[in-house]
Amino acid sequence: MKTKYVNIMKAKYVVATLLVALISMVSCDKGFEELNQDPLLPTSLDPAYLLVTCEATYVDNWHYEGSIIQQIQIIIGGQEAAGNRNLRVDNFMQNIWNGSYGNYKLLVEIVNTLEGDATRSNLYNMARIMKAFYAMRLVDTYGNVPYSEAGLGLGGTFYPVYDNQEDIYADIEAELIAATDALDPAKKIETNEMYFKGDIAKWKKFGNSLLLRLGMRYSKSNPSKAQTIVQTATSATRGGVITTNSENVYIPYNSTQNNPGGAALTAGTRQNWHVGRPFVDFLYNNKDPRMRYIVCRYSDPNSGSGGTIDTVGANQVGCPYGLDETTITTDPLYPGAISSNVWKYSQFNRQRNLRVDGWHYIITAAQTQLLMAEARYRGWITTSTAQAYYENGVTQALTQADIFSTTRGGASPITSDEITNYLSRPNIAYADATALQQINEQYWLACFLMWHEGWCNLRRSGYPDLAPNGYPSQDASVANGDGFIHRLCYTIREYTINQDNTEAAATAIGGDELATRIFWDTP
Amino acid sequence: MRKLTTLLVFLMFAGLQIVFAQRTVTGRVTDAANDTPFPGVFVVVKGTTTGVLTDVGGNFTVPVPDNRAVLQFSFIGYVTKEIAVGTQTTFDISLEQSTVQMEEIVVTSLGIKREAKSLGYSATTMNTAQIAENPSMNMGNAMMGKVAGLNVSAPPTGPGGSSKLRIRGQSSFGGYNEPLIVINGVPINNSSTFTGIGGDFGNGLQSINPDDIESMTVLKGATAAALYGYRAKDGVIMITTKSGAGRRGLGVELTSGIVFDQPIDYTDFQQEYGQGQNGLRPVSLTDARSSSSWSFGGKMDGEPVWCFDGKEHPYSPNPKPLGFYNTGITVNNTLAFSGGNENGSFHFSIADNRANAITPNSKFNKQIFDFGVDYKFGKLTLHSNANYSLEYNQNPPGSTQQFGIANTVYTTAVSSDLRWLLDMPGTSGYKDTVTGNEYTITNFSYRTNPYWTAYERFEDRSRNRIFGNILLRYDFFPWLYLQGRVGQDYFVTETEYNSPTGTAYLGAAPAGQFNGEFSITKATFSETNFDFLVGVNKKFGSFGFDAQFGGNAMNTVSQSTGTSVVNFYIRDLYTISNGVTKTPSQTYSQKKVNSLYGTISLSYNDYLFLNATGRNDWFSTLNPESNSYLYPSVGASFVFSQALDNIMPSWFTFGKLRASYAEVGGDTSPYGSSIYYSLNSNAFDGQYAWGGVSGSTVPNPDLKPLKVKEAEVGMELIFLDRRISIDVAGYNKNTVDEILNVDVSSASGYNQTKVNVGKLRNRGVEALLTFVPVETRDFSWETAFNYSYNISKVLELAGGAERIVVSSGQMWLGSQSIAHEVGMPLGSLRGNDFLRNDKGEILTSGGQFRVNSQMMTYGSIIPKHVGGWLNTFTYKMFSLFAQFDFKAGHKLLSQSNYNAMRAGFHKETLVGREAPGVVFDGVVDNDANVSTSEDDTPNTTAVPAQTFYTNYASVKPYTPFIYNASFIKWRTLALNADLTKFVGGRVIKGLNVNASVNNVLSLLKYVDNLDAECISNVDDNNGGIEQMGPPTVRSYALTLNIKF
Repeated sequence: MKTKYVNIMKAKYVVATLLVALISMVSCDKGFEELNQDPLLPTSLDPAYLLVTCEATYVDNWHYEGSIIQQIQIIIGGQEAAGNRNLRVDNFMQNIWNGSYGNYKLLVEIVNTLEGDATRSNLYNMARIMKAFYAMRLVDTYGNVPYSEAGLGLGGTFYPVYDNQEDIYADIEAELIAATDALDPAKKIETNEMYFKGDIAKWKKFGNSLLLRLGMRYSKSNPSKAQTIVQTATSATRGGVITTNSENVYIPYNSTQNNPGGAALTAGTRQNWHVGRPFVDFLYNNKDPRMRYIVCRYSDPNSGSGGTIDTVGANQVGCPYGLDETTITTDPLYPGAISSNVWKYSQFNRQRNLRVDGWHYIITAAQTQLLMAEARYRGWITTSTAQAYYENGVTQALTQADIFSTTRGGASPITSDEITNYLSRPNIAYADATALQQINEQYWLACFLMWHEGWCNLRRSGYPDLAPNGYPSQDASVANGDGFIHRLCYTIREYTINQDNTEAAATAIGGDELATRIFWDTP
Repeated sequence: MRKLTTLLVFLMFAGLQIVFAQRTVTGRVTDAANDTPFPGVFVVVKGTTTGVLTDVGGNFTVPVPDNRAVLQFSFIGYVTKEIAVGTQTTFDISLEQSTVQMEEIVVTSLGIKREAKSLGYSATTMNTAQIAENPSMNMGNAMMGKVAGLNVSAPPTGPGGSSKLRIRGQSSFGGYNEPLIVINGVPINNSSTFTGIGGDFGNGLQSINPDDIESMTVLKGATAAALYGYRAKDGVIMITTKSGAGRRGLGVELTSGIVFDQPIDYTDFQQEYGQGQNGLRPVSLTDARSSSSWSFGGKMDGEPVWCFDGKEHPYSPNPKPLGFYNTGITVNNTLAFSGGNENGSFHFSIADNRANAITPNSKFNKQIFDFGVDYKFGKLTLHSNANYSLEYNQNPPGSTQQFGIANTVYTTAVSSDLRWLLDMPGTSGYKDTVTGNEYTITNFSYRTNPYWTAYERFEDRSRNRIFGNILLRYDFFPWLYLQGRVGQDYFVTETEYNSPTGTAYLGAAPAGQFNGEFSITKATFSETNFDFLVGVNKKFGSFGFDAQFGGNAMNTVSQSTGTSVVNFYIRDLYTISNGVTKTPSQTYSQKKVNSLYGTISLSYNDYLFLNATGRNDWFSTLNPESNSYLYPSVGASFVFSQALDNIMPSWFTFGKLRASYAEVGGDTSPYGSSIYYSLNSNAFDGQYAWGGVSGSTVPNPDLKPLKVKEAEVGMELIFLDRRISIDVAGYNKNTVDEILNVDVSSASGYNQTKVNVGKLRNRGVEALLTFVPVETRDFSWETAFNYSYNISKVLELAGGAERIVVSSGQMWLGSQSIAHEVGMPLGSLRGNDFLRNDKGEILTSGGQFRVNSQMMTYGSIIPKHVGGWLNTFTYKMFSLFAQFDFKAGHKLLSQSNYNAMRAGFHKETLVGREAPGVVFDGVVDNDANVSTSEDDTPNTTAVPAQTFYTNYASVKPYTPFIYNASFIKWRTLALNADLTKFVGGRVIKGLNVNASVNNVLSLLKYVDNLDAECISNVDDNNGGIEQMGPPTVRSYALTLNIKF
């Protein structure tokens, strides 16, 4: 009996100890604050790493821009319906919006943190240039957009107002000039930056080339303003613009970070994406040496490799616009189908320009030199000759690395003889009488895969002279306009979330329609 | 073994000491049901602490102070008997099983046992026998239709899938409103995990073997769950597992079952036009291999036509559209041992469940080991349970386009049979013999050949899990105890999946490499709970006093590491080292909550009960300035039948009124108060480090946990000795301080922010009516209706917003279609209607319907009415169980029907198949004003059929694909036979055979081509959106139970 009693008493102590331990355990919240910090993630990053993100994910869009400028076409509708049928499809119209603002906040952060920081002034100014670049694309796509209040979500600005597009442009202009001028080779060189490893001379050319692009946007709506900006942009004392391919800005996609455009166009619906007929015809009619590296027909477009490839120019059939899976058989050049809804129209070359490790160009010597040609032609600048700029632009376009090659970064296979030949062809050889058309047709070619810029230039210059899409059930505003999409609409999400500001912007720009023109796009 | 045979039943109130014996009386207690000795009966001299337990022979000896003493004989589940001692010295007592609810003991919060009659809130004890009638691999599904106020959905996500439980509607705007699952007093993790392809790896209930469950209680309202504080917002399901208590002798029990699952085919596709496009049948193998997703071919005439298997088959309807699916076979075996002696008892079981799903090469296997023990060392009691499970889930079906098998199965042309692929000579029907790549059957490469998905693609998860607890309790006096408990839930999951090399939709890899992906992740989760409880229980005359005070320290840690790789050097070798681009990942998340709580109950004359509780929680996840929250509750119960005993008529057996109010809370996640950055795992182009803000939600350091304030009233009535019983409850539940992930303009750089504004109300009634129309010696029929009505209303949203959009990730029809809207029930299904003029006529352009760019609300995705009708017929040793259940008052969006429409399967697509095509019944707008109808003229433009129906995909009108989701189903038919008397004897103590059918018949539904319960998403915020899940199944089960 006694032993049992002792055992029980012992147990009692055990329980009492347990009780004391438990009470002390729950009676406080000591250490809770430290506990609530994620031990794996940093609370800040070197701004250079943020800038690389903005450089690396500047993504283009083919669902609208590529089909508006009639370089790419898809016959089927359904999930892929967008620019091919001149329809409003929110899924695809929102790409630039969402893709831009996610990065825009990082640029705002870099600019806000580094402002006044003398040690990183070059990084600060590069971020300003990138920020202007992002904002410019947004204006060019939608018109009025959030700018002064954009990217400030962390500070609690959740529903930014939309700024006037002209005002934004004016600020971008000022920013590009100020930031480019403030870049200083004597200050810390940001070697972790991706486009040029911090090379100040190249960055200045990048900034000035963007400024040139911006100035040229005014060529229809405000020529004198255009002239002023172009003169500033090209002033030799400010560092000049991009003149050769080694100064191009591009995203070096690779086997780890794949080219999103190439990846999408060679994935599930690869057999459905065709080359637009005007593009094929233009290349073919002018015996363009690029053609056999861009356009082809595959024997088995369903398969990943495409089967056997036919790059003979005469065998290519571009895909027409305005038709669908049923009416396509009425195309006079209808080449037939490989199987149902897989047609024999030409496609892009998956082994060359659609490689998933292919580079994506952002701004090139070809584009810049062609803009110089136009500026020179218009007499806004006085250096060299329009013809020299034009020929250099075409030459740079034909000798761009990677895009015509089967290997990543590979040199252009186009020879100097081919270039000389090409530049002497009837419609290609520079002629003052047709200079504007020629320059801008070449710009259109130089924007292959840079479809957004091609679309801007089509709206700005009116070239190339394309026929409207004319799809029977296209968007009413486009049908009532000139038959082309002039901007993309605000996202449904913005209407849901930022309703008042979005509606005010829609009114301010004259209606949120595909046919509404942005401010520099005067008829 | 000898010890075990000399068993005594153990009870918690054992070990009373004998005091001041003046004389002793003796006696024997028997069970009135079978006249056998009744050990373990608590014999106490009323009004004293003197008492003993009867021994194995039912005998007792107890000292009594004098002749006026009254002896009280009690045993849980039996009617307590009181006998005046008088001059008698020996007693022969027989105890009767209590038939009336008022003697029921209910396991309530923290595992505290209470008499049902004392509760001021609704708590429903489940009939565990009825749970066993549904041999679903997830025991949650077996609760369907059985408890008023509990809404169970069994998504058709395969045998390893989740079971979705909701009590009294949805308490929050978030998608996860799952009740807390508490096993033996300790919470376990019941969250669902998902596959990369929209499939369902199941939830925490998977780890429990229904055969191990001793009892189960559903604590529905906030008061019932109040002691769980911040975890109580959705109610609690309390599960007590077996520990062998009450067993007499060593027992062995074997339960073996086999279940056959048959896919139910609800398709009612058009049967006139076969495979093909633009009105043409396939004319070659190439053609056949590019068009199987389309039923826009020619008129089927039985003539030979090329098919994707390289043969010609008659151009006729496929009689078995779902022939791809097999009959699923599940084999269940449980072997259980239990026993005990005078000091304790144990229960040990081993379960082996092997389910082969209806989808080929998909299975879910698990082994569960469950151990429970009670042991008593004098006044110290040890109670422990442990549950160890090994779960292996292979290839659960997904619902995304690429690898969601159902997608391809439901959109394989009506004239084609996927099974033909199996008979292809020289190939396995899915692999190209030359290239080793996917053998494609459609030019729509996102529709992966389903056999390729089944056999080349893998996604497996294994989970090793142990949860359990150890409880020590010390009874200082019969009226005072102290207990301490430690519980843990710990599991390790290992998940791996691939995208096989050669899958058609994948883009090509760079030259020299093979495309594809492989990913492996190892994750651990642990939650530990330390708690203590002091309990006091005293009677003072007519007043009873019962109080507990306790505390809990909770610590949960989840972490994972994984690597995914893209593209390979060596073909078909899915390893990390063979991958070209390797992306590692690592996560860690920890949270602590400390709590103190107390409960006080007062009773008067056993008919009036008052109960109050309070709990304070301190959260590590909240701002230290405001991290402490108090959750109070009060409840009252009045058993008026007992209070007015002398005036109640004899047929009025029992009557009780109850009322309660409580405030409970919701949970918050760690690390929500700061912004974090992350670097990408692979430097860009191998040299440039790059990174950004982690996530797209703006943090909010001032966040509070949401609070649910719920008032409840209820009544229980029992008539005619339980021939009729009624239990009704009404509640009003307000959720305040909702944590909203509010969408912000993406121009802010972020997509969402978390804020604390938002009010939601749920109101409802629950009723349970049990009726025994016939009860004779041999035959009885018990019928029970349960019904609940819940209506929610969104009262307020952040910043005065009218609605917030909460859905994400839908495949086809758009990116936003579930929203919460002020003034409306929770979960508005929204979408775009056709563009209409003021007369409601649909406007057209080029013969095609136009769509309104403004969205409209179609209704709520959450059912208002949920209920069941359960019948049990008993005839001698047979019992027949039949269950019908229903849900009503909700909508669903069917993306399968959208696909059926755009691809020519739906019967409506028969219109306009022949030239000139579809002349849509709409109008043409001839002025610029779309709303005025004056200038509108009827559409006369014909559009070829395929072009017309494909336009559903181009412009995406929702209206044709919105359905009333209501249904009535005959859920279960089960026959049980107790064959003990044929085989019973020394060796076999019991033999039961059970045969059942589940999902017997769908009696009413409105959804075309699918089951009304086709929603495979367990998240409330995507709940009403159907996207190509596998078919629901009808199960035939046979179960044998032998007791030794």
